[in-house]
Amino acid sequence: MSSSAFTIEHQQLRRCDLFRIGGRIDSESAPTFEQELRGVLADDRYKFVLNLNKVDYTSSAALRVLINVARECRRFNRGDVRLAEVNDRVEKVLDLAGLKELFKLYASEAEAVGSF
Amino acid sequence: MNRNAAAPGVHELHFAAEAGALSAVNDFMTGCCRAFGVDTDASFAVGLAVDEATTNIIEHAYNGKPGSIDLRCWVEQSDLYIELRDRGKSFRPALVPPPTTSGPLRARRVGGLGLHFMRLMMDEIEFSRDESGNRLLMIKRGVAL
Repeated sequence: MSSSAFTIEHQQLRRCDLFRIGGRIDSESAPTFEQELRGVLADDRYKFVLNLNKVDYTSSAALRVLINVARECRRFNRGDVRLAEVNDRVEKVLDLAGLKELFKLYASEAEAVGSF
Repeated sequence: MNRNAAAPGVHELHFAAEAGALSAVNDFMTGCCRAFGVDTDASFAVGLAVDEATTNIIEHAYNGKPGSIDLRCWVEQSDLYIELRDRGKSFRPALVPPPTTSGPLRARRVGGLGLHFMRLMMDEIEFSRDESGNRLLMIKRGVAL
């Protein structure tokens, strides 16, 4: 089974910005991941939903992006990064890094979007 | 990227120390784990540890400069052994402060997460250095058939 390539799709919604992410987020793809999120931050939008349903692997590189972007979004209480459809493996990685307690996880994309 | 003709039962991969090699490294480790009968949970753990170790070599041992890495994988009894060798600058794990894994987001230190995951995923990790460079040995016990 070969590695699946990183993909990211962005959709600007009324309540928030939705990113559907797939494949591997490792130190090769993490810069692209970060660039996509920061592109929206640069437009002064700070409410993000990340649908991780199709992410099959995350390393610490992905978590660093998550932490840095979430810090930016949460400044002045202007927004947040919320996670939807996180599979068991990714959830375990979040937990091992002590991050599960810091992010809201939603079972569905609709719930995550509706939470804003 | 070269898969060398290794001793029987030893899988080897020689690759350039660059982020673009990571997916091939992952494919290699998936293949090794399958060949050695390692289950999916242990394969995931091993894959994560190798990914983090490789990333650290690229970013810290070689500091982003060109270099190469030798990866070897074998089994002794039912223990999976993974060795990574590089010719970058020496690494002292004791000098890496641990990441913060609790407390508010604004106070979280993100450095050291890679080494943290390596220690969590593997049963033993050992850093050493000789005339040919750095050697990292990682062992996951009781996972191979």
